[in-house]
Amino acid sequence: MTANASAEGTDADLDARLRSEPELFTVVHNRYFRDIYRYAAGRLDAQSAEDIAAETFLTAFDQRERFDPGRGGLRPWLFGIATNLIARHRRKEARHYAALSRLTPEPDAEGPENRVVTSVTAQRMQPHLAKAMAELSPGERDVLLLIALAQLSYEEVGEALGISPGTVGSRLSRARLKLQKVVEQEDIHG
Amino acid sequence: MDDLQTLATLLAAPEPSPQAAGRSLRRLQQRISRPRRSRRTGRLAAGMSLAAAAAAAAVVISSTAAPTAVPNGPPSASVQLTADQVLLAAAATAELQREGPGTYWFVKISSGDSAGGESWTARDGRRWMRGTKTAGEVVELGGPPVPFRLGGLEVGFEQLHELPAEPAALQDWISDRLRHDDVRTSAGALDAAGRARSVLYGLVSLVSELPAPPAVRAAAFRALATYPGVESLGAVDGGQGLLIPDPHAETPERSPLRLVVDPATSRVRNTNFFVSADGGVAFGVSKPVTIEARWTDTLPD
Repeated sequence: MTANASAEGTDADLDARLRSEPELFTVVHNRYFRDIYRYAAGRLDAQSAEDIAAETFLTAFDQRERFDPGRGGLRPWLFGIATNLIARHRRKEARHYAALSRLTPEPDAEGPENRVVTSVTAQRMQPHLAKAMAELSPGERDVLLLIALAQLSYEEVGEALGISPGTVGSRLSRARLKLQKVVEQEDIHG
Repeated sequence: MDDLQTLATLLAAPEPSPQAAGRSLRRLQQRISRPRRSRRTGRLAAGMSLAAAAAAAAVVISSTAAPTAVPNGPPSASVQLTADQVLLAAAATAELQREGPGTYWFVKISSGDSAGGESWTARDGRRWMRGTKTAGEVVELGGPPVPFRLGGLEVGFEQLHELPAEPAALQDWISDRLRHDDVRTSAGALDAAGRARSVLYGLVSLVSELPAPPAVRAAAFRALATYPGVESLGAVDGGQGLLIPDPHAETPERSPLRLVVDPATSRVRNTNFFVSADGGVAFGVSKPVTIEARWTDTLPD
């Protein structure tokens, strides 16, 4: 759906009206459900992702008094909520990466669980995915995936997690270094 | 490839199903309609139907209540629902509606003071009409069952139920069928522009006058929300006014299409475009027409 392609100006309108007109959360839902779902589904299985995405909007609605448009946008706020909800599922998340690591790329694979990995770098990283993700601290993983999966800016990640953009930057570089290390080491020894 | 991009590729998940989005939306709408703890309306609200909840959710949208000022927010004068917000709210309402029981699908099209045309279509396809052509009498149309018109395609009740409930798939379905069925107009075979125009007409018919299932109507509203350049006229009599430009319109007065949508009921009240009971595409050029479309159990005497 491309209905959310409207200008940021309309987002600002929406942001400002949410507290006085909570019914507009249905519009928020329709605009962001897909993004939140796909972020969660990148970190967890499909069923958990559906639960997390639904919970995100319920939580946002319940905590609407705490949303302050002056302090940041709606989108990072929602991703922050989703990230907190995902944090309750550490083991499930680890199992998800383990399952993805075991997938063997088959050219004629079908279905969403048999994701075909075409690029060479992706093929190289895939078997080490679970190990690499396990090396990261939860904070580093959140930053890394909010940028890679949700495509938030440093500033937005900061808003989402309640940390400074500087901290976002340092966590991201640590995470990328660790990632690189695991892939290289495994290439030599593994 | 950048390592972040690689990671995104490895972790990329399939799109959520429309059903998953629908389930999530319903949970949210129930939560929104739930009374606040401090109020003593628990029992009343617990008995509120989903449709009522949807209506409550949308009521705000059709009213023109002044928004509360928020520090650092935009000036309140600029607050107006955008066209896509109107269409998405109508989609959310449509999705929660139950398909009406009823014997006849009733459509009444009127313009100004004139009674206009009325039609009743039974589920077996038989159709009755009343209008100026029938001298005010209810007359059953003879011959084989009369299908409905969806952007030039002939469809029956069953086909309307089989339509995709996802916006892009719905548009593709109409477009593919137009090509496949080699639909022709008085001007000859449809080219790509003609098909695009027919898809738009079909979507408008789905939300305004066809007995499509709630999920399909919702998909049609969402599809309309993806059209570029749709403008909101704000609150007007009967709902929210929208202008939908049609880049493939045959004549200038056929674009934009003008619709008045009531997000609280998801019905289209007024339009300058409709398909008449005998299948013709009609434009209310001088004045808009009012459309009433619903299930009913009775034929008038």
